[in-house]
Amino acid sequence: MQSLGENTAERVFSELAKEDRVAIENQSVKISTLTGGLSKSGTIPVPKNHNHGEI
Amino acid sequence: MAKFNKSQPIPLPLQVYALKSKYKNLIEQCEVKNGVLSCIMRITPSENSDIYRVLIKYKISLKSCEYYPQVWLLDPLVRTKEGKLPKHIYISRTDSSGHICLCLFYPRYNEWNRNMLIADTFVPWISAWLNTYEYWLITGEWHYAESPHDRSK
Repeated sequence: MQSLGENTAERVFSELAKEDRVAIENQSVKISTLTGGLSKSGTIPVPKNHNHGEI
Repeated sequence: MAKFNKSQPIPLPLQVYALKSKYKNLIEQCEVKNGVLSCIMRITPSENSDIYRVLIKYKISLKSCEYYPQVWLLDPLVRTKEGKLPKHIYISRTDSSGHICLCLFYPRYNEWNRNMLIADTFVPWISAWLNTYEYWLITGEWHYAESPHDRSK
């Protein structure tokens, strides 16, 4: 059983995940060559892709 | 960057050169040996993330599953959420140490071809996958573009 706090955390992180996805798509975040991570100061855009899978 | 004949794949040494020149701080090992590109990188997908070690392997081959680079998560091992693995993995390509192979793009959408640099495609896709995976561990939802799944692949 989930607590109220867990539900709130899931909602908050879902919103953050959606914001990250939009930022990737509009290239307001790119990949930093120093960390390999998404960053506003990054220089390498994320080309459009779809995650695939077999399970 | 020089332009290439589109009928010819980018040579592996040039792929290595691009990886090393763009991500020199992140590369643990990157070489071509016996016709196979092998690159281990340390990626921190966001400011508060873990550091992930990934292995990229690629050889220029006409076999469908070797036609494009493949990526394994070496460390930490992929975690489960409520007993389930993330769905965007190739479970059949899990190696003997339990390293999971990531599903980063959908081949049928032609999102990658051998005239593209791994440094400009797979590395950003790995970072985005890891970022999405970290959110999935919390929320159980995969907030990224997805393709249809095919169990026969």
